[in-house]
Amino acid sequence: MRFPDALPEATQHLADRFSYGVDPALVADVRTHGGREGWWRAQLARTDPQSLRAGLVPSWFPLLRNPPALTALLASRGVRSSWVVGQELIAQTFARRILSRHQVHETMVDFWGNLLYVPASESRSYAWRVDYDEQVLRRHALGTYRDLLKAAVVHPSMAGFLTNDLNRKGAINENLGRELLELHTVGRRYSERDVRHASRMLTGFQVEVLTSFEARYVPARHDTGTVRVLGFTDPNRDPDGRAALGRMLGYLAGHPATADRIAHRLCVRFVSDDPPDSIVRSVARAYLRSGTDIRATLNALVRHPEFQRSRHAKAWNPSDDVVHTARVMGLAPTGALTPGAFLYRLIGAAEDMGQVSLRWPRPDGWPETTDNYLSASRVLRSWRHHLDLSGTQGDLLQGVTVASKASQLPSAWPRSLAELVDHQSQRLVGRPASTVVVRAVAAAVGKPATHRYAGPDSVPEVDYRLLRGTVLNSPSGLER
Amino acid sequence: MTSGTADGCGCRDYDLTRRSLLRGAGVAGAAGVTTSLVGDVLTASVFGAEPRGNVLVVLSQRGGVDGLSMVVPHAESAYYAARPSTAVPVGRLLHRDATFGLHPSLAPLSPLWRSGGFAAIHAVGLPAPNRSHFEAMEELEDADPGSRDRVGWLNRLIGALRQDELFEGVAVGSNVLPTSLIGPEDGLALSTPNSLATPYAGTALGTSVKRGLTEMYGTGGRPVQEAGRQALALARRGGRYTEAAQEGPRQGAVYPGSPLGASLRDAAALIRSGLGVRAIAVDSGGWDHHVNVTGLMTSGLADLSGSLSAFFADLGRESSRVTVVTVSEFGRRLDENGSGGVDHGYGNAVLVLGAGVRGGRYYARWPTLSPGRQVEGDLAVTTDYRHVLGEIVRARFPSVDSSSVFPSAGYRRTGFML
Repeated sequence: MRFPDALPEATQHLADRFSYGVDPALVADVRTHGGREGWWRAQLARTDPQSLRAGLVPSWFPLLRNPPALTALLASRGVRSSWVVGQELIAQTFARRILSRHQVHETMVDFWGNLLYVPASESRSYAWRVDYDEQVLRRHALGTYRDLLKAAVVHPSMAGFLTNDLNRKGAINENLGRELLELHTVGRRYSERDVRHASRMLTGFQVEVLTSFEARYVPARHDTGTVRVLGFTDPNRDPDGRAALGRMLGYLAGHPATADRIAHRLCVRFVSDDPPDSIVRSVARAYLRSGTDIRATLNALVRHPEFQRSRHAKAWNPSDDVVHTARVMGLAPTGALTPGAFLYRLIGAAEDMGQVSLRWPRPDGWPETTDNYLSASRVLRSWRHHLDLSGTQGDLLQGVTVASKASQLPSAWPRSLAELVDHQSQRLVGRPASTVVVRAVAAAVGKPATHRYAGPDSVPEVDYRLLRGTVLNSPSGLER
Repeated sequence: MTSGTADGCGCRDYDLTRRSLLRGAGVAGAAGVTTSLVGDVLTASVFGAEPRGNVLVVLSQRGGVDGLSMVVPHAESAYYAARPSTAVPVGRLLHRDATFGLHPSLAPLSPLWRSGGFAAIHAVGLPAPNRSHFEAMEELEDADPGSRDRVGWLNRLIGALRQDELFEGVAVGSNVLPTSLIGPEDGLALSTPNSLATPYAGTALGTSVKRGLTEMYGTGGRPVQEAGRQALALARRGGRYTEAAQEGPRQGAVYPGSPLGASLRDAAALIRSGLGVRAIAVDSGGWDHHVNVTGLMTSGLADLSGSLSAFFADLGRESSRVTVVTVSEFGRRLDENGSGGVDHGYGNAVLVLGAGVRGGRYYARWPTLSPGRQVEGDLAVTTDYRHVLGEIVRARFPSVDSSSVFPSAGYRRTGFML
């Protein structure tokens, strides 16, 4: 049977890929917008007002709003280390993923942040990393890739991470120039000369890395003279090279190889680890035709037939797993005051499973493929974590609102155990329960599938935990 | 509940032979893993049936270590000319011969060098330059150019050991397998030696939980189902590793408090546990020296040598079956850059330590640093890294056909292994 709080399969699939989990608020939004199409449009437009609680999240982390110079000063005095700054940024990110009504926006902030990647807490970039999050990723996540790229590449956080602060006329440092071509735009189809020329164009940006982190443009550091990169040529005569750099970045953003690379990465993230060529080509075409417009590109992706054919083909990576679990279990963080707060426990759980957003050390970002996160030890730890969050009590549950049992179970009673398994499967996993899962829950609870419960209060805490934990621990619970 | 019990809980026993797992494992293998570093360090290992067999530890210096600082060609005036502010002074080098000397931060490994258990090989690398971190790492670990199959050389080594064991490939320190371990042989990852049991194991609730899990993960070839079966199997055997790790280092070995130290400490526990580990891959990050190569090499090599020195002390008599080799995706440019660093280059140095090493000396078909012998401003490569690894495989795993591990690589012996 289909319970009223379940979404149609196609909608569930869209939400599985473009949200951090279907919860009652998301189901209500789908209803309000008359179904999948309306919800998708509203998500891209971000017209729905943000939820009150999500709006409060930044206020839980007031020190993240310190200017970079103060952030650096506090770190140098040993008051507040770069690690703590990064940990708070990750906690804030997790909180937004759990609470935000704009789930597609959060998802795309993550996607672009993993492509134009700057880790949290890295010593040369941390002071500007929060600004990078707000002013680059959040601002442009649903705009055009051209604008996003231009904002990201010149940002002091990116400059620090990839040592562009050291790249100046007469002392070229190729680090950012190479990754701009290889990771951020065309992929590995550049020559060493392209790297040198791109690096020359990137000169002029000064950041007082490791001291005040003051950032400014210094024309005397800019290396003028003709720049040629992959068919792009610019005389680059102006001592202020920013306009010429903008032209080069615009060219690279609109390069067909960039379109292919971004389309492929989008499809690996949102379709499958090894996506069919047809959808990659469609997405690349939409990217080019629309002038790198992200919404048009995503529309092409979700409307391609291969998108709906890819149901359940991806797995939740560990960071998304812990956020997803919180959302579907009805756990809403209320703050981040203590190190034992729920949000920090989630980070710890993701770390145990081997993947924490923004903690990957290299400029290529976390792998977008998900099968490779399915190691045995990760699975053991996911199972444990799901069970830890399945009940109404537990030592992880500080700084969090726990939904009542009645709100999580069906409204009409009595119910058999089999019906409860089906209901929870639709809620937690988005699919009806298979007979195997019903049998598994019955085995775990130690009651027959026909056992009848009179109402929410007659479901013992241990049954409730085993019921929900076992459902989320089923193979489907790790798939999205 | 079904019958058959290994652990007294009435759970079905899902011990599978390698071959039965292999049938389904094609899915995971074909999906591939594109990258390998998690956190700062990753270790991955391969188990065999022989509990006291020889062990190969591959320590990857991710980022591209500056081999010219690690093993300094002090006889080359070109080295000092190219690096006015970053050259290692000749007077500070250890164990100098006519051509080379070791970086002073490698001092903790001096006893091993003197006793002949530590050798250095220079001008080693990929057959052709590749200055992209990501591509060079792929190529290094895949070691099968021209093949479109994503099967890493360590995975082929496991396959060649031909043992019918449940866990053929295990990653420790992460849940992402390095490219070298990817392939049809089963991969398994353990991020730490702890929590390798099913939830709440040892309690009544844990018994209930496990009953449910074993019901759900009996069959099926989806990647999540494969992973769940491996998890249940791991839970039955991971305890030995956990115990060995909890006993702590032996022989008073003290590891640096670094990710690499922790990783090698866990690797030693894995070897001591008697689970039959045959190959362990350890990843160490932070070797990308665009800036401040002097400081980074001093601290990085101190960590490396301190960790390896503790590792061999910890292993004690077990070290007679353990060989360690370092690899890195590329060396650095000969010329220093404007930031006291060195950009991506080509030829590199490799360290080999432990069992079977004819050490206390340097090996190189030294190309020199004269301008005519450089490759685009970099040290040339005169020894294919696959020949270095192949020589170790031949010496320590004589039952393995090393040409199946390194297809079409050819072979040229350097002579650093006994």
